Amino acid sequence: MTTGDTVTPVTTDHRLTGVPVWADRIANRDLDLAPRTETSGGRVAYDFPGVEVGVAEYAEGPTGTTVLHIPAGARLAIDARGGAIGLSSGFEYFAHAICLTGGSVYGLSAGSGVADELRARGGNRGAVDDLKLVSTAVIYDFSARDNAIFPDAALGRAAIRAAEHGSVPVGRVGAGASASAGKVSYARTELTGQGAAFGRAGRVRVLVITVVNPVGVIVDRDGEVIRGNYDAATGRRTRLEPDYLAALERAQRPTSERGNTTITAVVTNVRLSDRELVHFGRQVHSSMNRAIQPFHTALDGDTLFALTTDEVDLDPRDAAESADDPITAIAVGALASELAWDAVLRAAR
Amino acid sequence: MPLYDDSLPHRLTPPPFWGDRIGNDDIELVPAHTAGRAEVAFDFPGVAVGTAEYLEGPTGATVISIPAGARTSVDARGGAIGIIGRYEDLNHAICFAGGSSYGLAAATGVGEELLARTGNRVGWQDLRSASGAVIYDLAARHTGIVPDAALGRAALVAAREDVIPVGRVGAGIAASAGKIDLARCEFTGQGAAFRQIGPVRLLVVTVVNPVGVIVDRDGTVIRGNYDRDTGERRLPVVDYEAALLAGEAPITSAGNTTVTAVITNVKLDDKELRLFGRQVHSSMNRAIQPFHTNHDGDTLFALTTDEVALPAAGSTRLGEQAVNSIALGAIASELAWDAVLASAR
Repeated sequence: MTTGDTVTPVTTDHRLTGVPVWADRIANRDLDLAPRTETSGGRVAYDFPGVEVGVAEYAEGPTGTTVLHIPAGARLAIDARGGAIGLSSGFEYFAHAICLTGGSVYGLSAGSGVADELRARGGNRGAVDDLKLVSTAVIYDFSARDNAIFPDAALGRAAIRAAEHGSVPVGRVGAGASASAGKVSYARTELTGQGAAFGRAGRVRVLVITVVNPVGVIVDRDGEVIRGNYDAATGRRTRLEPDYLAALERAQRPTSERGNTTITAVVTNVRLSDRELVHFGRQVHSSMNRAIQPFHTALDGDTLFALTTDEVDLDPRDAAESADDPITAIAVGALASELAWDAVLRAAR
Repeated sequence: MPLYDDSLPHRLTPPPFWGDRIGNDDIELVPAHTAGRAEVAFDFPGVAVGTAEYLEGPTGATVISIPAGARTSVDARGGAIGIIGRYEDLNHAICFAGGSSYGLAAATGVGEELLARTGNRVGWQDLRSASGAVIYDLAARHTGIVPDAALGRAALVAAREDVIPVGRVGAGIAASAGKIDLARCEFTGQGAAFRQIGPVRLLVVTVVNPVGVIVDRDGTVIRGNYDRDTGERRLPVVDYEAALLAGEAPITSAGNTTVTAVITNVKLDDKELRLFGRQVHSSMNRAIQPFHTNHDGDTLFALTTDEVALPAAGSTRLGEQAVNSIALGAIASELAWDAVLASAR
C-alpha cells in the first residue's frame, strides 16, 4: 500500500500548540472579561452588499466568535458531516446570522448573544415572520490553551455589534483564535485560524468564511502539507496516512487526538432552489477534502452553512426550471470550492 | 393574569399582539419556580427534573438532568425545528424552553453551570453536553421575554428527584394547542408520566404546543380548536375538509412544536435506541392530531442510562435483538399519551 506521501521541505518555522494539561482551569466566572473587536492582522476584502462580518475575542483565552450577518436574511442549508457536531439552529432553512465560535459545546452561548442583539433591534417582536434566526457551530479549541474561557452571550453580542461590510479578518482571530490542525498527537499540532475568500464573476458573488480546526493537515494545491503534524525532530510535516499506515503495519492502534472540527459558511447571491442549495453546500463541503486531509472524520464536527440571498437569476430558464436544471448550482459550487481552498490556506498561513 | 380561570369552559389564549414588545433587556427578571396544576411522582435514581419561569413572560424552561450522562438518540421530525446541541452520544442534560429560537439560550445556561460543576475541566471526556429544543410560545402572550441562560441555569439548580410539576409550568407555561385559528387555540402545558416495571424504569416529559388538538383515548378532543360559538372542540381535519370542499385554502397558524424526552434505564444498542425513540414519537400521533406537521418542530430525545440488561429474545441471525426495544417502546408510548393528557388537563 502506498500513501501518496509528498515530500515536504524541512523547516524550523512551525507554530506548534504545545501539549495541553487536563486539570481544573479558570473560566468566565473567574475573570472580568472584556470583548475585543479590533484586529490587527490580515484581512480579506469583499464586496457583497447586505453581508456583514464581525469578530470578537476574549484575549485571555484566547478564544473568539465570528458572526456573518445578513440583515435581510438568507435561505440556508446545513451540511453537518463530522462525527462530533456542535450545532444550534433556530430554524434549519433560513438565517439572519451565522455564528462560528470557539469553546466547544459551551461556545454555543455566543450564538444566543447574537440572537439577543437581533431580537432587541427588532423590538422584541413575536410573530413568526419577525423572528431573527441564528445558526451556530462550534470548534473545540481547549487543547491549544490552558484555560476554559469560552465565547459567551456577551461575546456573541459584541461580535455582531462590530459587524460591518467590506473585509474579513483572517488568521488567529475570531472563532479561529485558538484553532489548530494535524492532530495525530498534540505534540505535533499546529495553530491555524480563520480564513476567508471572496469571488465575483459577473453578477455572481460568493463569500467563504471558514474556521479550520481539523484532525487533518492543511494541504496546498501542489500537495505540500503547510500546517499540522509537524515533527520537531525532523522539521517535516507529513500527512496522517504515513502515521496510520506505520501503526497498522506494526499491529498497533493508530492515534489521533479528540477535539477538532472545521466550520464554514458559504454565501452566494445566486437564486437556488431548495434542492440546489443543499447540493451546492454538499459539493463545496466535500471539496474541502482537498485542502484538509483527512476531513469529515468521526473526530471532527465538520459543518457547513450554505446560504443564498436569492438576488441573481442567471437566466430566465434558471428561475423557472432550476430544480430540473442544476447546472448553475454546480458551476457556482465549483467556483466556491476553489474559494474554500483559498480560505483554508489563508487560515493556516 | 392568572394562569387558570376554572370558571370558564375553555382555556383560550388571549388575542395575539404583533407590535413591539418589552424584552429581557428592558426589565430585571428573576426566575420563579411555580407549582403547576398537579405533580407527577417519579423514582429514577440519577435523573432529576427542574423547572423555572419568568412570570413576566410568562415563559419558562424545563431541565432533565442526568449527571452521569445518558446515551441519546434525537428524533427531529417537524418542519420547523429549533434545536441546540443535538448530541447523539452522551447528554448530561436536556433543556426544553419557550421563546422559540431565542429560547435556545436556556440550554447554554445549563451547559455553563455543568462546566462550572466540573471545575472547568475541558478535556474531551470532561465536556458536559446539554442539548435542548424550543417551542414557539410568543403568540399566546404579549411580551418578548424569552428564556435566557440564567433561566436555564435556575431550572437545573432547582432539579428534583421526586416530582415533576405538570400543567402551565416550566417550558410549558405558555404552551398551547389546536391552532387552526389563534382565536380557537387553548393553553396546554407540560406533561409527564413515569412507570416502573420490576427493574425497568421509564420516564416521559413533554411540552405540548402543537398545531394539532389533544385527543383522549376515547377520541374526545380535550384541548384545542375550541369553537366559542358552539362550545365544542373538533379535530382540525374537519376544518380542512370544509375548506377544501369550499375551494378555499385551509388555514393554520405558524408557530408550534411539541418537544419530548423519554428516558429508560434499559440497555439498548444504537439502533434499538433510535427505533425506540421513533416508535414513541410516532405513537404520540394518537394523542396529538395532526402531529409532525410542517408547522411543528416536533423533536423527541430518547435517552438511556444503560443500567438494566433485559434477557435477549427474538434475536435474529442479523444480530438484532430489537424485541426488547419494541416492548419498551409500546409501554413508553402509553406513558407518552398519559403525559400529553396531563399537560392539557
